[in-house]
Amino acid sequence: MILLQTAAIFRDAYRELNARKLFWLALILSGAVVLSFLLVSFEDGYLKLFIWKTPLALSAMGVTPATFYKLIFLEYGVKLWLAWIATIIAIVTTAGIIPEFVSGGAIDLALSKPIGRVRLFLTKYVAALLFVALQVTVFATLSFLVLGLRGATWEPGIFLAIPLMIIFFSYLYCISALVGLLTRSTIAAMILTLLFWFFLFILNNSDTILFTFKANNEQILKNEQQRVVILEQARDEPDRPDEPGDGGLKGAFLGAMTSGFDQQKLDRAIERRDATRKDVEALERWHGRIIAVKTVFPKTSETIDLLQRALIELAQLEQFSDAMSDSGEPPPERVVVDDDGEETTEVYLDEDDQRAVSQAQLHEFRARSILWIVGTSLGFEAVILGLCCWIFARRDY
Amino acid sequence: MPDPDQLVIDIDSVSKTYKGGVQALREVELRVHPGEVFGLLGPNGAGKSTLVKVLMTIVRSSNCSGRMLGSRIGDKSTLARVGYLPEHLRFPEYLTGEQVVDHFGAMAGVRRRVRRQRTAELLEIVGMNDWRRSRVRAYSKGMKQRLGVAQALINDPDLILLDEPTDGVDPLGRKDIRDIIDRMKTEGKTVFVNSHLLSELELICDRVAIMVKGQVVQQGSIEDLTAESQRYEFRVSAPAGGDEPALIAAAFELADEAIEYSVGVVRTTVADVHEIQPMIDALRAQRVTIHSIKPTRQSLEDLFMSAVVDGGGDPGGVRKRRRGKKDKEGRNDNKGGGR
Repeated sequence: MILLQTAAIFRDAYRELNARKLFWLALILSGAVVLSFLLVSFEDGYLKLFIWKTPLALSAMGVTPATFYKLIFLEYGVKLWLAWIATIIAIVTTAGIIPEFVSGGAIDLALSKPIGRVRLFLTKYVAALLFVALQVTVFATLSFLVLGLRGATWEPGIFLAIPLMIIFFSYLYCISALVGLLTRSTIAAMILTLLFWFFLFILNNSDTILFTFKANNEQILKNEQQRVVILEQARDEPDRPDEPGDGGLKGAFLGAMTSGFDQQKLDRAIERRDATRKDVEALERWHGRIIAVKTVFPKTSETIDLLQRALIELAQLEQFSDAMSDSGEPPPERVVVDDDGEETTEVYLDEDDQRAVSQAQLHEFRARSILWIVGTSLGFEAVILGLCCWIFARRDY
Repeated sequence: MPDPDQLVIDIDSVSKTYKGGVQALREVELRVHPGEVFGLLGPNGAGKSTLVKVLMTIVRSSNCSGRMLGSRIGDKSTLARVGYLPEHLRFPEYLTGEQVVDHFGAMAGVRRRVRRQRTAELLEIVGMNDWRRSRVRAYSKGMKQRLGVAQALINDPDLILLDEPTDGVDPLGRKDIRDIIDRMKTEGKTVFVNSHLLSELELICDRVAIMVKGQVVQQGSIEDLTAESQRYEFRVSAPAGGDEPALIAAAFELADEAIEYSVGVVRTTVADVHEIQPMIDALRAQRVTIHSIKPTRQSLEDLFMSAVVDGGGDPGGVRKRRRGKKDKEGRNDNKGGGR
């Protein structure tokens, strides 16, 4: 009986999706996105997109075509298409499932069958995830073939996208189900789910931004501490010859190129170092708070990033990240007023420092445990679903 | 098949108080016997649909002591043996008629092969065979109602609960539904009908219960319930040149019985056939011609109206319904809905 009923609910969910134009639109677009990867190829130091060529020496970057294809798949296929555009389509398409299910006249029939309310609701909930499951299965299968044909890498890890995307979408869908159950309104379910997702996006961005600020400031603190040490050495050993600096702007910042000791310069360096230390401490405090809040809520971006963790090794990612940052933006500068009141520009984080910051970022996010990322997120979902079941089981229709 | 000696529905007491303190059911007591067609009547808001919903676990009772098909009310597994047609039903519009019946059959735990066979049979019985592959969104209200009856029967239930089964159905469809109910009765099923169409219930029900303000005020067979109101009606005429009122007055003065008289018709208040024999003698003694004598009794509608008024209910709701019925019959559109 249980199998019969479960199969019936899933069959019904498929028919419901099948009847929605958005489902087919998303499926066709999914196919188009994957097939567009076929248009990307590499020839003699060029990246070729259909007929257009752009110079891109992958070997010089230490990246294989296979890794590059995987990165395209992850950045455009998964992060941009699946976890962004297709998810919005999925939220819109599935928002009406629970409100329609609990509407008068329809729910009476469902409840009059020999199936417990909790099982009925949970099966209906899981069946609603079929939208994403079907979309991602098609997408992952096509991607597997395209990556095999183009990148000459048959990567079964791509199929991890299926459970990860379903889990990711379920974080959001539990909110849609709760709102749909409470308000019986499709619009309310859709809007509040999108707002919730936006909140998670802000939370995640706060984490990333605060962490980057913190890592930057830690690097600055390191440099400023070095500057203080050099200036103190100049004070303590006035006869000591200047250490040969790197001759760059950062060398000038560190004071290695200065001659003679200047107490005011040391005082200012200490003052600046202490101020930066306070900044670092404040950023650590705030970042800790954000992490605490994040622990309670679903971690959407990090769940999706688990796919990258599975497909691309950290060393390769570091290499790629370095290669990309080599041709990147100029190093950050800041204006410093010197003793004569003249303003000069100093580089306080050179390319090595920036690289260290981005490596720290990669390591930090990779070091977060799967249990923390998925476990706590599923815990949140379980609490919301528990609430849904409690409401559904107790309500009179 | 249910045990023939066991009551199909045996409720000692069911109460339901909604949030806000509205008492929809007040210690309702009800008995439904196996194989009978049982009708539940009541004005709008009497609690009829709430009672059915309690039986089907759609509404949770505040207090319930009773059994359905031998199991406690609220037991989900019992519902596999029950068919239910809700009032104002709504099917998923993306399904075809055939898929609707099949889906709810699967939900009721009916195996696929049996479902296929029964779906075809039932759609034929309810007259929806030609529409079986059309999507529900194209159906009229009457067609949806027929489909609702088909899905209620897919699990070959021992007990069928029909909440306003003829709501929105045209006269031909009503007759079809009555025929289906008759057929179910012939097959030994128990049918519980919740309806405001008294004339239809009178045609099909073995027993009825009348609900007013959340309480069952009367229940029994229509014959038993109307027995007290049984009377005899004489069609009479005076002999040529005779004064009919005077002759009638003289006859009944002798018989010493209370009567109602209007020209050509004499109604007695006695119910026993033996008691009218002296009246016949008295009328004949006055040379009054008796054209016919027939027993009369209250209609179900009269019984219902008096029960509602005695029970403190508002028969206005019923009148509204009946006006709705007329509308519906005239325009095939029932605007008098609601419970």
